[in-house]
Amino acid sequence: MIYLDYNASAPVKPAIRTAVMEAMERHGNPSSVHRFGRIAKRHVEEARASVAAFAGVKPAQVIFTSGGTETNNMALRALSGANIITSSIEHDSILACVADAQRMPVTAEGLIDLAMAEKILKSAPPRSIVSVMLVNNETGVIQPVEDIARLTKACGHIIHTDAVQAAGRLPLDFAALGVDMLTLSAHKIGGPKGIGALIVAEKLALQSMIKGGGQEMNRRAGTENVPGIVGFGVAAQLAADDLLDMPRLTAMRDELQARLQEIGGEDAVVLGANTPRVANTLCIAMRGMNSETQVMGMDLAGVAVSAGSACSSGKVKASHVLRAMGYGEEIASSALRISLGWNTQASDVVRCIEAWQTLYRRSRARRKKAA
Amino acid sequence: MGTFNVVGFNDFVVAHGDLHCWLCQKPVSARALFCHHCGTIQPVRAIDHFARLGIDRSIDIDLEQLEHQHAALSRTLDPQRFMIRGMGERGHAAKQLEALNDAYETLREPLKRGRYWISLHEKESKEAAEAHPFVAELRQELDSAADPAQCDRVAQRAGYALEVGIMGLMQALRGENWQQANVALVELDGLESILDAVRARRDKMRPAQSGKGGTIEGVKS
Repeated sequence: MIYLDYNASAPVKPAIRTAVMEAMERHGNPSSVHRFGRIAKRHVEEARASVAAFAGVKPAQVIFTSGGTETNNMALRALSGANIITSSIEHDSILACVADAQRMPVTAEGLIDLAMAEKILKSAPPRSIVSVMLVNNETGVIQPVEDIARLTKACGHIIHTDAVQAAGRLPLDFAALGVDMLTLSAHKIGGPKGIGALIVAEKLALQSMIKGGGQEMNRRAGTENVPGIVGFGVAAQLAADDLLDMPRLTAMRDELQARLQEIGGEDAVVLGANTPRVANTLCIAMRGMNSETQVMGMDLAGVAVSAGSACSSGKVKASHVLRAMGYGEEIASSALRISLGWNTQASDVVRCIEAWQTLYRRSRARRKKAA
Repeated sequence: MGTFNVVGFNDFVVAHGDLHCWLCQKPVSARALFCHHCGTIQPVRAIDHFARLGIDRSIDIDLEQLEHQHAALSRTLDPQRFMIRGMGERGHAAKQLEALNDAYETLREPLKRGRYWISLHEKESKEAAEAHPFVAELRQELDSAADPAQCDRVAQRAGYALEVGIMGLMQALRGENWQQANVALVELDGLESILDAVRARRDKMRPAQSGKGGTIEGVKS
């Protein structure tokens, strides 16, 4: 079985698995004062330093959480009662968190419309929280977060970015982005699931969403997930190699895109192709076959990919991202997301092309018959 | 489906087949900073500067991307982070950082990058220089030169073309026209090789012309 769904979750790297297993065998609580507790605490702090270096911040700016969803919720609730502004292409963990938030529109290429963003930001009440993703999970399009951060600051708002899909694919630099909060998740960079982090600006005082002990400097109560944190620390360090792997992934992704377009002609529509994208992601719609059927067909052919959008029930619906980009039902409900990563080989891409070609021929034959 | 040639993929396969982690002996990629099996920092391997910084191999690089990649990788290789590791790992980390900085310094300067680019394409550059009409003409003239005066004339023409070429190169670099700069660098290399050839030719002629002495105009030794 070929795995090409790294944007959903990347396979765990062996060194990370080993580190997590070793951490699971150590039974101290980081809050305990005895030797076991101190050892656990030391491992947590080493991991914190690693994640901090990964994001270009000080260790004290890293708050460990249970993953991307909790982190995004935490960021949006950082200031009680604050007005929330986000974009129309955010992940569900942002959109569902504040259903009535103002949403900035995107262009046909999937980029946040800066002119519209400026209007919205200027008319919003002061100290609003603005949340914009750094890389879209479906199209891989890199959002102009630095520009939006400048506009946001000029209007006196606070800005958060969900950098879950950017981690390991773009070099992160919290200060250069100009944001106040940033979300990370370990399992997108080959770490364990169930562990994430919120990076916060030094001057920003956060309200803890979870009440209890004084862990994470009173910003997130609950005994730390030590094995998860240790795994995240190793993943953050090894992610440097992911950055070095991007030219290889770009070459493979571009070859894949070219072959699928060659096979599908006008029936193959690449989404976000004319704007900067991360190297590993290809979002391509096949006219005439819905996403769910494509995902199942690819799965039967031994290739794991995902639809443009999937919810936890496994039921595929039309992509809200593609809808926001102005695509109609036909394209929005027939997109496939193919995402490559650290363990992807060229032979995997060949298998993917073959499987897609088979599906496409079947779809075309069915359409001809129907006509 | 047939063969599938992806740029960089073959290097990846070779690297995986030939290289092993110095500690756990599992396969590693040539460009890997860390072993993905045991997590240990790896020694510096012989890869080009572009691969060392994880950017596309091109004369026309994105300087902002270069800065960001360098900053992120430098943080990963910060010596402070390896203080609690053994001597071996500390040494490898220090050398990796040194190699990274060397690659960065070379790629960020357009002139250094151009020279480096030429060195990566030595064979193609030589062929291009030889194929360059003016360089080819000078080479032909030198080949048929029967006495030192004819050699000197070739050297004068090459020296003048070199000066003009350097101005052209600087203009291309100022205008960030990397393609034109590359062409200019190739031509300059060709002209320099002509001047080297003139020197060699004159040295050979010297015994036969002993007593006449003199220097070759336009050739700096």
